[in-house]
Amino acid sequence: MPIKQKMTLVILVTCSVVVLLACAAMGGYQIFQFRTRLMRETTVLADVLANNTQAALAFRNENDAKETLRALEAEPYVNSACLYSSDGMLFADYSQLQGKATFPDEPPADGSHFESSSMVVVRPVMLNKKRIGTIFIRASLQEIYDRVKFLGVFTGLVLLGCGLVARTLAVRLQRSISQPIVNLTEAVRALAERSDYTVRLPEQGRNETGSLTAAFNHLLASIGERDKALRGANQSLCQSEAQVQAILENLNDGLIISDLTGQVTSFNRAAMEMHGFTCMHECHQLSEYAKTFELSDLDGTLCPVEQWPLARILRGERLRNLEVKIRHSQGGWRKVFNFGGALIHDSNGQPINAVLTVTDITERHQAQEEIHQLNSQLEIRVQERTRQLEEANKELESFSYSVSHDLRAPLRHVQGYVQLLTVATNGHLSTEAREYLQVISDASDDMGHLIDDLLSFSRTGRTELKTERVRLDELAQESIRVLELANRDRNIVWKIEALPAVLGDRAMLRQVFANLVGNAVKYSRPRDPAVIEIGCAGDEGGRAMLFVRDNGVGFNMKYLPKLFGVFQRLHKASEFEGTGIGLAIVQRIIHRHGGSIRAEAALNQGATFYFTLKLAAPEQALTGRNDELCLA
Amino acid sequence: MKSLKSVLFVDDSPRDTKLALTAFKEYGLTNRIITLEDGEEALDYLYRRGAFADRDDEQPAFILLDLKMPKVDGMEVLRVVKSDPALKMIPMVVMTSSREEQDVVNSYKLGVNAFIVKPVNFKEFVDAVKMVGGFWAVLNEPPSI
Repeated sequence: MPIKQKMTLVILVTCSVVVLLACAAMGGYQIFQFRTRLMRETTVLADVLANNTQAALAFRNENDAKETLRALEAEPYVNSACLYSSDGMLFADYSQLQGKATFPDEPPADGSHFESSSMVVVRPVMLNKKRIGTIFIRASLQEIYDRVKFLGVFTGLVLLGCGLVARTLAVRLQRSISQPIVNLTEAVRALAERSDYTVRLPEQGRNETGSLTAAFNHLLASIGERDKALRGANQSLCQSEAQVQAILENLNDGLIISDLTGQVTSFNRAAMEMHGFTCMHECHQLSEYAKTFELSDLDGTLCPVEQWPLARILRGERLRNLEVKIRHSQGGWRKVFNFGGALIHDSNGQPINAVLTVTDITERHQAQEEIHQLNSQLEIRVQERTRQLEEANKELESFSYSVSHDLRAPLRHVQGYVQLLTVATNGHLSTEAREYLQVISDASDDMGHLIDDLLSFSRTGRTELKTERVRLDELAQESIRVLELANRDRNIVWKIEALPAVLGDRAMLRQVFANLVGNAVKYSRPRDPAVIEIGCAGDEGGRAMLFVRDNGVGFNMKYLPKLFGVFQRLHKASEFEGTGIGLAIVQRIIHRHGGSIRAEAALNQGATFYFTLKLAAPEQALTGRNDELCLA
Repeated sequence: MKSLKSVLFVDDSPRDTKLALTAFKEYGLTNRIITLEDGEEALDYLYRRGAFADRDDEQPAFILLDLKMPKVDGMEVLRVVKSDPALKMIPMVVMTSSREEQDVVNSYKLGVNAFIVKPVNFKEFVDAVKMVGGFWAVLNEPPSI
């Protein structure tokens, strides 16, 4: 039943009961008063009648008695009355309803009492203090009944009226109490049906419902906020879960999640593919795996199930890069997996589940094994080659040692003995013969130079580099000084730029400058003045680009490929002396220093040689280099 | 006037020896030149043993030594002489065909007094021999042994 009706009913019932009780009390009191009055009046009447009938009774005048009794007609409430004589015999009677009244045969005891629908009053008739008879009056209670009836109707009407008024008032008054509750109810219903936390109840003042409403509103607001936050959190949770799911599915690595009993709860796509599963229900309990798969160490030792990665994780181990061979007992395939994983704990540190990552490293493993094999083979081959090279080097060394010693001696002898022959013949030889001897001498001279050059070239290849900081300024000046001494008759203009310090073998670099500057001097012999430039054309990647330029005879660029070859010459021996080893040595030295060399030239327009050398770190303080320069 | 000591010339090549002797002669070196053909003979000579057991002259003014020789090579002779306190004062000049760096370095490590590469050109060879002879036999003042 709605609270409105209930309240109305409560008010109505209360009112009705109150009215009823009031009416009943009033009615009861009135009836009681009426009866009392009736009894008193009837008693008085009986006493009056007793007085009036004294004589008739005393004289036994029945008619008088009856006449007197008939006076009762004026009292309509008296139903009947009678007189008993002193002997108890009915003497006279009266009845409103002609002759239909019944009287007791003997007079009852004095007093009054109520019968079913009437009241009986019995009074003595006294004469001179002597009882001469008894008067009996029966009064009707009809009036009481009428009054009761009237009271009932009245009460009913009052009740009705009260009820209507009460209802009207209740309906109006209960609103101030029930309306907030109804509103609250509706709000709660709306809340329950639509989960609408934006509903707010109107303020209700400072009474209990007001507090309740305010509290409810506050509760709604906080629920609304929580709901919003919860929705947000839920949404981001959903998003991140979707994201995680997408990540898991697209991972190249396998991911397996199991509960603490070893029952697999999740297998991502990669893990399924790796195991050759096509659907989730193939992924069984850990113990079931043993029937499908066989795991072993990399060295081939079979792993018992209790040593399998998941079993180890379930025992609390944290796995990392555990490489295991796996074989499908039916499918027959073999793979190598890399396992990792650990137990996942909740915020209380209690394990929730186990996570296992799997990477298929079969190919890598194979490649590694191949590499390993190749490496060991390579190692052997390298050792073999190194040994061969060492041998070859040793042979080469002893060869060049022998050449150095033994090839030169016969040449010297040829020369020496040609000379001795010239002396011994003492001018007896023909001019022709002397010319022949000169040719023999010159040829052996040439061969001596060739051998020297060859040995020098061979040495630049074999000698170990002694890398140090070398100031190229010094080397350039040294080479110029030597060449100027040998060419005092020449007109040479030197243009020397500032040169950097480089890292290299001082003796070898000295050779580079000697050869390049030497060439420049040699091939500019027809020029007057010869102009020779030495400079630095910049640096790149920590290497300086140096150059030596002359205005000499140059060469045709089509012969460039021959330029740095051993004993390759671009000029006739009759024009420019030389064996053709200088540039080969220069190139070899530059290459051994990790640099490069190239030439630019044009016939009769000079030549420029560019070469690169590694720059040295700038020197903090000058050392004794200058002194060395002076001594050199 | 100092007494003329001999010069010890050790070379396995008779041609070189002859050229050297010619050069000495041309220079006019009056010292007696003892020519030996290998290191063993040189050591025998210096220690007065074997064929030279009854040698009673002074030790040479200087030794001209080829490196590449049969039996005992020049480097060994150098090592023995320069590690013997009785002989180490004798100036030793290596005169060889080779200009190998290792030979030069090793010779100097053993205490050689000069290292000369025999020039291929005869004139230069003669000049070199003259210079060596002139310096070590005439100009140089060795400590008295």
